[in-house]
Amino acid sequence: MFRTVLAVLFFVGALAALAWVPTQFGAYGVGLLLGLTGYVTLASAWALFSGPTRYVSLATVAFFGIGAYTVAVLSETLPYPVILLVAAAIGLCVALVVGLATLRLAGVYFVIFTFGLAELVRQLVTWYEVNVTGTLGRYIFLPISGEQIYWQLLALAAVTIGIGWAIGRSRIGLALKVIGDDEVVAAHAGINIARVKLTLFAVSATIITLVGAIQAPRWTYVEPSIVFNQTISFLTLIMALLGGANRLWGPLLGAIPLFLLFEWLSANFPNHYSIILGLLFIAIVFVMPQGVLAMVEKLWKRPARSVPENVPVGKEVVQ
Amino acid sequence: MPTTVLISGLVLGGTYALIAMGLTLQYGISRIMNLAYGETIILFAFGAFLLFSVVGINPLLGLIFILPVAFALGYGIYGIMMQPLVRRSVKTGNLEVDSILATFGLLFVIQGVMLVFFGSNYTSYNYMNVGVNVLGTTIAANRLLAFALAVLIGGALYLALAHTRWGTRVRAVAVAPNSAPLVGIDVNKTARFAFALGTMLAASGGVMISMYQTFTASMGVVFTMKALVVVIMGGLGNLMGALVAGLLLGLVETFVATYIDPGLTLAATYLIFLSVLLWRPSGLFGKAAR
Amino acid sequence: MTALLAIEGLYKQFGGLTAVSDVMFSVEEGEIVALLGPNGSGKTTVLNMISGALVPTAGHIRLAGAEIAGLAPHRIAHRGVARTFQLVRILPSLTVRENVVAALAFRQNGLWGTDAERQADALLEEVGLIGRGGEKADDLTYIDQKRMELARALAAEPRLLLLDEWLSGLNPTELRVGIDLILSLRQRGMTILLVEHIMEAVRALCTRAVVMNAGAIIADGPTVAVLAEPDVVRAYLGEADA
Repeated sequence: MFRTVLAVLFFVGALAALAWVPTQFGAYGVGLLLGLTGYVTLASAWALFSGPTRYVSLATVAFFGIGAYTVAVLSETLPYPVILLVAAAIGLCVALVVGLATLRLAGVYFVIFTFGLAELVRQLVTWYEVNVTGTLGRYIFLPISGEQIYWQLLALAAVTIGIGWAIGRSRIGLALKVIGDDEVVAAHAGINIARVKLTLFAVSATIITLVGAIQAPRWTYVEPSIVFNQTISFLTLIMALLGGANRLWGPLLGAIPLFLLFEWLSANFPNHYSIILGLLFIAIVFVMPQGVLAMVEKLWKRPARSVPENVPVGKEVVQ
Repeated sequence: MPTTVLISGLVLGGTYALIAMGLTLQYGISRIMNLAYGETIILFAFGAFLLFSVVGINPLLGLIFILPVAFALGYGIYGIMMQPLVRRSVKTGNLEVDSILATFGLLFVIQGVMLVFFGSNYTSYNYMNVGVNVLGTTIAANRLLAFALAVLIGGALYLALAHTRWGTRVRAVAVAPNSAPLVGIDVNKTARFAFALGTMLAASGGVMISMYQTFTASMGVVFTMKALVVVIMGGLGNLMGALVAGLLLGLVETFVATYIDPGLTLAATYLIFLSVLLWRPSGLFGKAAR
Repeated sequence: MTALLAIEGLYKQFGGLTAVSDVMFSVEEGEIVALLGPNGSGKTTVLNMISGALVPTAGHIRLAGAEIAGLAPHRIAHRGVARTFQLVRILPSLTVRENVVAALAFRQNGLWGTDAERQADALLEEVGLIGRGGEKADDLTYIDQKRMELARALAAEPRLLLLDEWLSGLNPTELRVGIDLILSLRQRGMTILLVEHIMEAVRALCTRAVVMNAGAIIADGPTVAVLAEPDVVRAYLGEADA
């Protein structure tokens, strides 16, 4: 109990410090912080669902783009908080449709569906803008400063990690662990597997939609090819995997170094950016399938243990 | 003009069927869900473009160069990238997720390479771009040629699988990868071969596409999606299903583009996908699960 | 009074193969019934249909009068059916206690927190795993994993318990322990349907036996009488002592 209180206090203190940081930086620093916090949130939200279920969602940018575009479309007609709510609601509805159609089936259907979702939404929005409104591309003039965006993202990041923490101690968290170990046992223990997955996917997708919506005012000019850029899905995925999608702080720890690296790469190798990213990503899948934290843990434990880990215990013989 | 729609739909569907066959080989036999499949298609579309516009070799002749290169590329990719994952999956059972992630990375690598060499502009070239009259419908000769090629290559593959010793081996791996070794089949070799063959089909699809439509380096996703939808409609690993579903998708797309709006073809593809998932997840021609 | 479990006209086809054909039997409240038959006769398929792991091709499965055929496994679990598996299925990354808590937390009116942990420890004690709750399930021996699996099934407070060859693979001493454990459940009035090859256990535990062969029922009655029937002996010839 005491430790929990201490952890919460530390968490709140760290948040306050982080909220104060941008007052010390120029515009560039704020932009950097803002982008970083955005990706921390995206990666953490992605891992909420994909970490425990191992369903690889490639739809991050579909939801991100939905959020951003909703703000672009509504920025002149509705007050800002209402726009955020509308964006979240749209993201939630899309997530429910996708989830209901695919989550009862084998994981590969979900992956395929999410893989094409961004392209679908992008083409639909483009079609709508060209045929119905007659303009492709919109301007966003909202009186929201970089610091304000940063603070919103910081709050959302805290909420996301908080949700992850709460799930870890709740029934749904146990349900996820059981599902991860053995779906057959899970179903026979009375767990409604499809509902657990759907709930988590919906929560994760709604947060991702909000990240897009909150960041939208940064751009001032928005068009489908900007906000539905597959690279965002890709970066989110690789950050979460590098840090370890199954751990509370994993995505955050993966996002910080990779975000800085990407910034540096895109400044110095703009043409070869995506090749380097792709190779880096393949390397991560190969070398650290469980993420950095698991890797560190393993290295940490190794000297302490004299018995090798993988000694067969004769279980196969019995079965 | 329904005959026009019917004929151009079937012609387009021929290409879809062919690329879907390649994907179904890779997933059904090699167990690799290859998200970079569409990028491979586009890569070889650029290859055909280079051969045609720089060296002056027509795409039909170009296939003689491209197909072996594609086979070698597929063979190499499987050996370098997939084999370690396959080996690892014996212990972890994560081949599906690992292959999805690895090929997602590969997607960005291939796309990046294409962007460096060809930029992000739409590319096309003029080859046999003359109208031919088929049953009262005028259709571009290059499209007809593409269709003929698809029929030829797809048909040859189908016959090879159904009637040769090699085909029996491949089908055995598809149906029972765990039991195949018991009858002396080298699963790993067969999987590698099937993956390379799938890449070859992707390449031939790319060459066909380059003959009759414009393409860009960032377009691969659309083709991967279409191939995937066809594969799922036909039933995972089912070649005949892929053939029929591919033709069907070509018809639907042409119909939507003609009567509704060309901008909504992908949406139509998705709608089909969604209804198949909800109605018959095992595919139109697959056996019901559970 | 309606039987607790009543099965009628049950069929299951896998493609062209008919695994279960026109099966009909019932289990009364408080009974322990054995479902017997040679390998491949369809026993486990029947069990799988009762628990919802498989959907019947046709037929009725009624639990206390209510149809459960074709329901999702978690719904059937909520109606009060729990089971163990032919090959023991543990949750390897969880502790022994968590394995049991998993069943407590998601049953109808589930338990959570310290209540659940206390209850889990009580159940573990009941199956002979006193003080072992903190160990990783993966580290248990085979018999202990079976015990844990039983505790997990009991945690659901089932009205009907399905045991699929729960006693197989045990050595003679362990077998004795296992039989005693099931006997103690009978004393509490639990209704059990068990699939078993070990005749010694069947004779000791079951008042009634239903015998299947090639997907159909060939005998149904008091255990001793059923095991003496010529049809049954013939079906079992060569593996009577399995």
